[in-house]
Amino acid sequence: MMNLTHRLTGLICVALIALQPTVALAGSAYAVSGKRGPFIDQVAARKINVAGGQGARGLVDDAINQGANQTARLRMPQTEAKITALLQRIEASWPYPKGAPLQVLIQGVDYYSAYSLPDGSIVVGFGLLDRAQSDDEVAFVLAHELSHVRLGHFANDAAKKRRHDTAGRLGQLYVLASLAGGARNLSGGRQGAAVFAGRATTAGRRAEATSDLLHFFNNAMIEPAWAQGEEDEADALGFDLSLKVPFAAEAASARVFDTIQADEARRRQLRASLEGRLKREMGRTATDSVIKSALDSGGSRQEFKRGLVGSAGRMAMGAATHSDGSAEHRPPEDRKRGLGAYSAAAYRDLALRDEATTWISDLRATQEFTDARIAVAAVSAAKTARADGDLAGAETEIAKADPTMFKDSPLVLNEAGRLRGDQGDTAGADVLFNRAHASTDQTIDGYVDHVRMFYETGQGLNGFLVAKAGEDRFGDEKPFLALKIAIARQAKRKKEMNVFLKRCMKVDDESLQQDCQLAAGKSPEPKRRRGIQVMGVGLG
Amino acid sequence: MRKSDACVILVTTLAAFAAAAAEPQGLVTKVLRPELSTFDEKGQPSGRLKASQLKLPAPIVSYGAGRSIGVRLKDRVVYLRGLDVQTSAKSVDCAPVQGAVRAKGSAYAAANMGLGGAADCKKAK
Repeated sequence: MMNLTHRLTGLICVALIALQPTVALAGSAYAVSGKRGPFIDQVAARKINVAGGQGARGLVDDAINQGANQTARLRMPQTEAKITALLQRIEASWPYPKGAPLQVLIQGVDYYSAYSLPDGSIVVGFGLLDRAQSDDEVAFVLAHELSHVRLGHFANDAAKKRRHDTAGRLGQLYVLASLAGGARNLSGGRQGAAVFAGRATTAGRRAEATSDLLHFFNNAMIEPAWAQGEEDEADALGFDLSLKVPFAAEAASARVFDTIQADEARRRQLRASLEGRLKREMGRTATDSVIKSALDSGGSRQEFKRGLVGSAGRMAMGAATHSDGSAEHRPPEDRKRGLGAYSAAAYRDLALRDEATTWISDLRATQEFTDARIAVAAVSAAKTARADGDLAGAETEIAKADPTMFKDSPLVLNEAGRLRGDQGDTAGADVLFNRAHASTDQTIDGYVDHVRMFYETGQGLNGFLVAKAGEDRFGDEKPFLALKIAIARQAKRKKEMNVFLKRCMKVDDESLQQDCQLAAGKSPEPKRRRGIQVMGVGLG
Repeated sequence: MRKSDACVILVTTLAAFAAAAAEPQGLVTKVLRPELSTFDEKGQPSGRLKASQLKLPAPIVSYGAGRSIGVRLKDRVVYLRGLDVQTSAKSVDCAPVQGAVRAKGSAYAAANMGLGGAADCKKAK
């Protein structure tokens, strides 16, 4: 007994030691020092390229990166006007040349996030507006994004990383589509249909829906890949600008970093969950018979299967790079520490002020905001239910968006179209996708998913027509290449297939190249090893 | 895992839970800089504090101007900036609605993607 007591006491002592105070040490050095005064004054002598550089132009020009054509644009004129007015209040404190006028775009996702684009667009996640607890909090986030634009951070090549990552992912859609669609399509006839019946089809659908969810998760808010120094500068200048309005920059910035940290934890959880699910469903779907039908004679089944699994892995990796897997990205706690040191030095003896909620209350008081909240939740829940294989549940969820003013938005229509497609109602899905295409806010994803549905149901010609319309509209063939190869193969048009494949192999994107090879029934060449692309997170 | 390791984890966890339960406003769990600015309740600067002077985890006794965090230091309460510390405090303004009462599907979304939104919060009493 004595011995047990002694051991327990020892253990409690160890535990108490573990709870002792610790002062966390900073990682790499923070790029901005407050000892030379506020950063807004420090940049007075800096030559700023407000027009951006080559990378910036690439970011704007590339179809899948256009701010207006991201995954989940939600047009909210009243809300956008109020945010623009707030941005203008903040920008009034910027004493240097302003460059492009600002515009606000809202993404229908509940991410506590925002990012900027070189054309002066500030893209705001609906979740930021819905979850922020003060005017000051939103103001700090906007000021941070404005700082990226006004400091000319787009003059570097960050945009290119973003473009490649997205293009690669859209190609990956093919792989899951091919599994969901079954051997019938891959082998170009009805012979293999029976092979893919039953459990494999259901698993394929779930895999596809999970890939949709992953894509939504990854791409609804794609941020430029800022360097740590640029993030530090945007934090410091965002702090200065907020303070000048004046907003409670100290309280707001601390809360923003804490919330981003909590968001990152959620994203990690989601990544693990979706990754596991995708692998499970892929395993159930990629049976030997399916692969036999999918692969051209002479290829290695093992290699082909490895290619499929690799594609699923790349999707999961996409989630990792978008959420928290970046080695270069400074964690929120470090950003908080850095900004804390900067602000304490730059603004010695500054009194703290309370945050206000007047603006945010007014923002949320409109019918537009209430409707958006319903529509965003409906789409998210429908996506989740679809990934669960609960199509009836997904139908119930998406129907909740019907009474809202966003029922005709591509965000809602595309998801409803995907659901109808999953339910086997191709004609109904076609109507919904076409309604979405008629909107100026239609996304390239809507076109890709429309093509994918036609491919899966063996209606290749219709798929080609939709792909052509998408390419014409967005001026970009890349997202459609793998599907076009698959459709040409399905129609036994080998010559055309090879033309598309050749074009695909010229695109500087290994992921896309591999998916094109899979679509052509070839085992992909092993991918060259290279570093994980770094993406921003939280505040772009 | 060895038994003794498991015991350490258990005792540590219990101690942390006990401390958190005893302090409904949360705890300061980490100090981010070696020296911190301090403020009075109204947010006016009141001096500096060495991180080593603060025993962690420190119970949060109140919140001051600008959501500054009040901790007891010997016989007085000093207020720290949120930028300088990490806390275990939950939001005092919003309590999450239980997952069980959410609509089907949204519980998963809320838990994993933060998709619940403000609609999934109720004002804390």
